[in-house]
Amino acid sequence: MARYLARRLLIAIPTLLALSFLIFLLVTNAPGDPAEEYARKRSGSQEATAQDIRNAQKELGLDRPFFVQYGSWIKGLATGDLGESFAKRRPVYDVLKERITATLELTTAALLLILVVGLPLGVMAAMFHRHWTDQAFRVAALMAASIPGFFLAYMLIVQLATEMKLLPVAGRQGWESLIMPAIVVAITPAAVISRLLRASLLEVFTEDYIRTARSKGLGSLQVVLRHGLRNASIPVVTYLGTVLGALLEGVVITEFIFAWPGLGLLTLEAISQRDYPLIQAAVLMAGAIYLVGNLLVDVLYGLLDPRIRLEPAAR
Amino acid sequence: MRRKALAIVMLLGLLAGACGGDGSPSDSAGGQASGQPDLNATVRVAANEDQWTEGGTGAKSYHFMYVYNVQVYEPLVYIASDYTLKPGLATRWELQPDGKTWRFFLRQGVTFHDGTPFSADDVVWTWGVRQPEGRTLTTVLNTLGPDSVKKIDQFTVDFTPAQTNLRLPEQIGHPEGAIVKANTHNDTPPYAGTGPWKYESYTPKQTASFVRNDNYWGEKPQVRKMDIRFYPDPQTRLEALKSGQADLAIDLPADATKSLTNDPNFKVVKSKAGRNHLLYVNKLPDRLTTEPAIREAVTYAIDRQSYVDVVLDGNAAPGRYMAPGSVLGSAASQVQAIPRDLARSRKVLDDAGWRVGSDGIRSKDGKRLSLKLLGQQEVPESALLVIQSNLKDVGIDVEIKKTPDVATRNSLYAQGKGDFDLDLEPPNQNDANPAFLPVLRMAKRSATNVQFAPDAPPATPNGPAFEAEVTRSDQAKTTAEVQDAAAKMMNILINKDYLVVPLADAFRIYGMAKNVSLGDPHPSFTNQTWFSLSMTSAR
Repeated sequence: MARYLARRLLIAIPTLLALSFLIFLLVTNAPGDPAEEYARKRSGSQEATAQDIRNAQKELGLDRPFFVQYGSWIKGLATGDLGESFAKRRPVYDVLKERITATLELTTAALLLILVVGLPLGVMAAMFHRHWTDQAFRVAALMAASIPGFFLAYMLIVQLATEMKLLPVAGRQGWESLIMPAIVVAITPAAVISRLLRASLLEVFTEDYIRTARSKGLGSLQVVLRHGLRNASIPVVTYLGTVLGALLEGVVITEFIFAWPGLGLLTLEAISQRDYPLIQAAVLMAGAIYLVGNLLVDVLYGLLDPRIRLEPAAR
Repeated sequence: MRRKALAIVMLLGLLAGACGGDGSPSDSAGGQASGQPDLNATVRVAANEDQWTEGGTGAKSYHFMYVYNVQVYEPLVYIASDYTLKPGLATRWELQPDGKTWRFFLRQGVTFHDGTPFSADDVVWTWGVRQPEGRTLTTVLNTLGPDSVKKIDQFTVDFTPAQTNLRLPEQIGHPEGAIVKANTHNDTPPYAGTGPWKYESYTPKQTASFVRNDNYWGEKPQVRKMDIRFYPDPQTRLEALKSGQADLAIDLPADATKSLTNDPNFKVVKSKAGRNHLLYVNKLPDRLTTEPAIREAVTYAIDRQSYVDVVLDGNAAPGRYMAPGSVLGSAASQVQAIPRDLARSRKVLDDAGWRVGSDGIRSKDGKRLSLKLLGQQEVPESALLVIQSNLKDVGIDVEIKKTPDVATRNSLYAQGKGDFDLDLEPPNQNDANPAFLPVLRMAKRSATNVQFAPDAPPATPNGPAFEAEVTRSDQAKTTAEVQDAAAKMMNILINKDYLVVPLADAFRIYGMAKNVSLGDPHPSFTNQTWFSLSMTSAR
């Protein structure tokens, strides 16, 4: 296992390097000139002069060739220096640190909700296969997966906050304010997971060992929990691995609507200001989390199903 | 049966888990206002996104000054809602006989919130050291030299710009020019200014609280505390107000007014027209709009009333000016309103040889009359569609290019080249100089104005007259004179050269609970004062 992890981590380095290059290439080729933005802000005027822009390019290091800029960024990354935000003139690390807690709070709550809602619904739908309950869950999951996040967000605000006054409208003021944004972020993945688990469980139910368990007199729920769930979890875990990275970056609209001061809003600001160092760091971080998520998935495969080997078979 | 019961139990459990918890946001008892201001009240304000941390640190910081000016710090002069100047930390100001030095006489007996007495040293620090280093208010700074700000005595300061700047008092009232205690900056505690509100707490991007300064030299706030909560999304701000989580909401969406007006618990307060929705017309030689006939046709094809109704839900006056009308004073009447005149618009194009094709779009010499319309991020989609529809009525095709942010929009300006014909912008006027916007965007002195400046190549016949008014506005010694110059500039731009098409003069919309009042809503947010904020005891 340790060797496998070490090898995967080693493979992650060139992957991240390739990702970093791609991010750098895309960001630096996006329309809009960060030097112009910087010069405008610095001069406080609506338009910046050509000289202002040249000065800003020099100050921000944007007058150097592409590969020199990229090399300098990578060198900084290797030493833990993420650079300085163009717009905020502060270390990127400090800026990210301020905002990551809020995003982690939101994504953790959403992840819990995905599991707490998605798994039981999937189990119930499988247990009540072809029953009205299954049909009801199917319709509910379809609706949940189809509702646009922003629409659901406004509906929840109007109903739960404005009309019923059960929850705060927005802001980050205690656990109550986490509920609605977490629901918005979690609803689609929860719906997908419930359907994946249902399908997987139905397949597992046809296996001999399930028939054996049932013939031993175990109740339906016990059969599912003791024997079915573990074996049916592989597709769910695979999906969760992909959701992890998407959750971090996919909360932009939710953070905007719910005034949640996290990384999503920060990335949005950084993009509109062409704040290269901040965009690069935020996107690279999401990429790294995605890689870690996938690594965890692979490890979980082995734990869930001993037949899946992480190491190559001995010859 | 057991399976059915189990399903119901699990479903109920899930619903309870999702909706449970006593998340009561705040007390929001109903009832009628008693009419007596509650001096101990806390007013919760739902504001747009927090930008206080975006300016930078130290000398560049604009904490509690811009965009929301909460009056922890105060300028030398205030810009009233009619854009006249009112004494702030300066009781009066006068131009000296040399014709270029402005002398400011400072208010005596004022203390900062930490008890330090206010004096000329603080003004010299703010304008002689801090501002030049941070360069936050360049309209003033660009005219100042290294020794322009001098202390005459403890309560008198002279500003002697390196280049004569008779507009200085009108510019200096911008909240970014607020006075900061000598040798300090406004991004570090204890955030001690001289204003009517004292800092209490601040969590960036979330909340900020301010309490009344009971030792304030002037009119004291009528409530004890003001809590600002930041909601970047306007719809969320509206819901925060409706739910009782906020008592007052700033900058609401235009369509919010109807729902609030129809609700007996709320009211809508509108400022005078302040935000001008303008269509700037690019006259560079490689654009079709370089042809005066096309610019004139565009001007007369626009249905301003329908723009006001469709885009702003009636919360504006049909566009007439390039800046808030009130800043022009009595000279405002010189700027003529333009009605929609489709016959004139079509005739101008016919006379210029633009013939209507089978698809309803005009062409000349094989060239189709198709214009590229730029819309910034903050411009509603409906605004662009109204323009597109209005121009189609006279045979002009419009290609809409909505830019997602300012950087993309600037890239299309491409350093004076400008890959667009029309640019829809809703600018603000934040200083009291009546000529501010026409000079900023249209004077040929700025290399970045080449698309629009009447006297920049290719110059219009009115170009020299426009520049003459620019110079007159620079040198005007009275407000009436600069107002006259600004009005003449606008007349040239709007009614003669057709380089600016006013679409709507929009009101600022403040929504509030019935028991809250904001006496003097300002057309410019950044100049909004909060002295008059009051709240009665019951909502």
